[in-house]
Amino acid sequence: MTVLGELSLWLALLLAAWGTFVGALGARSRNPDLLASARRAPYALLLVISVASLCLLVALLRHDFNVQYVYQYSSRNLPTPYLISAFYGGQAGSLLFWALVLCAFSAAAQWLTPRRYNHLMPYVAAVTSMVTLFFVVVSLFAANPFERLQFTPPDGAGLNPQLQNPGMVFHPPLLFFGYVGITIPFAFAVAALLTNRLDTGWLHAIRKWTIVSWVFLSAGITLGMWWAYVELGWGGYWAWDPVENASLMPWLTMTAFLHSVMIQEKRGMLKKWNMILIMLSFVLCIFGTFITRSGIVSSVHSFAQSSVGDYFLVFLILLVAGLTALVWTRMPRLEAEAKLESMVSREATFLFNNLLLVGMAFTVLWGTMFPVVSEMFRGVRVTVGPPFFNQVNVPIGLALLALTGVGPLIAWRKASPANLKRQFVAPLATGGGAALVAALLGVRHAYALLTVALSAFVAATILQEFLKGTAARHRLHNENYAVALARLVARNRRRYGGYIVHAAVVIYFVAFIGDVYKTEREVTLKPGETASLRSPFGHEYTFTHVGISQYDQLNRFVFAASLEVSKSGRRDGVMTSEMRQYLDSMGQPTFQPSTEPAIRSGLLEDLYIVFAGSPEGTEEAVYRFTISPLVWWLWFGGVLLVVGGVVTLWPSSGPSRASVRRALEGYQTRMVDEEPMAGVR
Amino acid sequence: MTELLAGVVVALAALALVLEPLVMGRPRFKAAGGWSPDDGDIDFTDVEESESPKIQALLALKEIEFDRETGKLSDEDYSTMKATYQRAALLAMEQEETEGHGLAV
Repeated sequence: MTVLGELSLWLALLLAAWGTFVGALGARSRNPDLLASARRAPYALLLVISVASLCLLVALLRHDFNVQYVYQYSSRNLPTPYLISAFYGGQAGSLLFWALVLCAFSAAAQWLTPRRYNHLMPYVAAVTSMVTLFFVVVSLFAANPFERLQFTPPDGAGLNPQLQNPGMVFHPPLLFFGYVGITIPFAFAVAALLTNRLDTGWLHAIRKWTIVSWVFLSAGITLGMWWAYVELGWGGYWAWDPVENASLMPWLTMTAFLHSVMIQEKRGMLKKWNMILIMLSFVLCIFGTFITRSGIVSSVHSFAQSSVGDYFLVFLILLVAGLTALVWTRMPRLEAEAKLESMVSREATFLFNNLLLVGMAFTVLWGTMFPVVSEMFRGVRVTVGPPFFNQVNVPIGLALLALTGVGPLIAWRKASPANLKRQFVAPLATGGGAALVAALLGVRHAYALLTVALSAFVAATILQEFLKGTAARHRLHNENYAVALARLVARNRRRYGGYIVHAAVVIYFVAFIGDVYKTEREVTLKPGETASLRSPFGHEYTFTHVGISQYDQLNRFVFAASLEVSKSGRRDGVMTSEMRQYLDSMGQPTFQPSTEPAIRSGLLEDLYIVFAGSPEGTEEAVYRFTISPLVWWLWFGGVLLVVGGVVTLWPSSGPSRASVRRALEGYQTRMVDEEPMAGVR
Repeated sequence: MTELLAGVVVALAALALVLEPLVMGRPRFKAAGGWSPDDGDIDFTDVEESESPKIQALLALKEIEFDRETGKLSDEDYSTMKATYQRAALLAMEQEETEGHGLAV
């Protein structure tokens, strides 16, 4: 199948080049035949890249070890789900997968965008084809998944054990959907600049795409945290690793864009800023991929060092230069239509939120790239670790959390002191009360107390918004409360879906508090010996080492260490942590042994046990016990965030003609009854 | 050989898709020209519609009324803003009547 796969890649090269040049040429010359041809390029690209992807999948499933990629990332005894995920488990396959997702998004953008945006679509096709062209060039010339070996090995090297986890089946695709999804808003932004159609039209065209990519990116990041937690065995979920940071940076700028775009839609302000944010998000996606693939910064997640990085670097330089020139020449058309009326307004809080989000993105960028910068200027590679990132980002994160509560309470344009007082009383009282209760319960850590207060403040804000909104509909439309609530959300999906996302963010922050109270202990136990660990919630766990068993399982040999667990003197079952040695089909070890923690997850805390090893020939076991409070809430927050995103995405959330007609009817009726106003006949 | 043949078929299909408008003159696949659902939203690419003073004023009136009802705007601020936007809406409607082209909302 590699002949067909490689042929498909060459076809993709041709078609992507065609789409890029014909799209630009057709849009300039306004030749309808060229325009139609350009808009078909994404469909044709989807066809050929799908064929190429299918060929690689077939090679993996057929164990065609003559294909270098299949040899490097799979083996005969690899379970089928991981044979499929091996498609994006290595450098070359993941780049092909990226191209596949990009083609699917590009074709969907052409297919689903309403006809009123036809003037932008050829340029959108040209931009998406250009990005596809880049990935196809890299696939063909730097990381070809169809490259063959001189001989056919009897078995493959196997997939990295850490990638043999359900989280890794879903995490990369979700993250790729998020990264690639940003290409569509980016393509619309470039199309708007090239056509000089810089009204709010393009913003409405990309609204759904922006949210789709943001939701995928958020879900991908959360799933990545879950994978790190259950697989890497260090008891945490975020380590400020360069690859983690690479996904966080575009997420931060996209989050900023999702807020600031509302100011442009409502007030015609921040046009330049929004344009820059969407471009920055795309550039950061490519940059993130560059640092992941090039090996310029060391990471536990990154791919092997290869020439792929050079291609990404050149693309990045061309991209930044081209975009800077394009935005620069369109600056006069990006002037704001209105000015900020008051610093106490919704617009102002969004502005602060944007400054903090972008500030955090640059902090993360600086910390991530510091080893490279320090080596460049001082000849010494100095790495900054979690203390730096936490010291800078925790205060910024808390300020953002505060703004999450403040923003919804303030009216657009201007807020009066009396109204501010009325709006803030209940949420502030809730926040203060929650902090007091937490302090009485023994919470002393300043950041933890502040997080409790702010989380309660934001939660009260969200609840108040739902209650007041429902009551307002009840009064204005004489609807009963259930109908009023349902219609409130249904007719303002963007706003109330956004509040659900805010609730998810609050839950994330509550989960982060748990990290402050994480408790760990490492002990070596003989069978029958016990160790204990006190939970931050007051109770005590006792662990009794039962013994070590050894057995074959699927494609690995397992050493399993079991413990009897007691909670405050009461038996609480047996927990087993594993150390796995993965083997090839001839029983030979493939990778270093990996650990599989035993995790018991609860609403209050997780009990996390790692079997770290055993002196040879003994039944002794080295254990690391960790009690991680509130971790479960992180995964729940992730689910809620996706629910909020789906509510926001539900069709037709923009101002509709029907809603304006209803308003018009209402005002016409009322205006007939009211006194004529000054200045109006 | 089979792979090569399959490759030729894929190539022909892909090339036919992009070259058909150039060779045949007019696109035959409607889908490739873009599916156009009428989502009922205001057309924000149409400046005449989206930036019409009437629509801008009506949307602002809806917004401030909801803000007043949820306590974000005081009665005093609401009255001032309402008068401004009502005036703008009435003037826009009057102008549309004079010019004889009401926007279809």
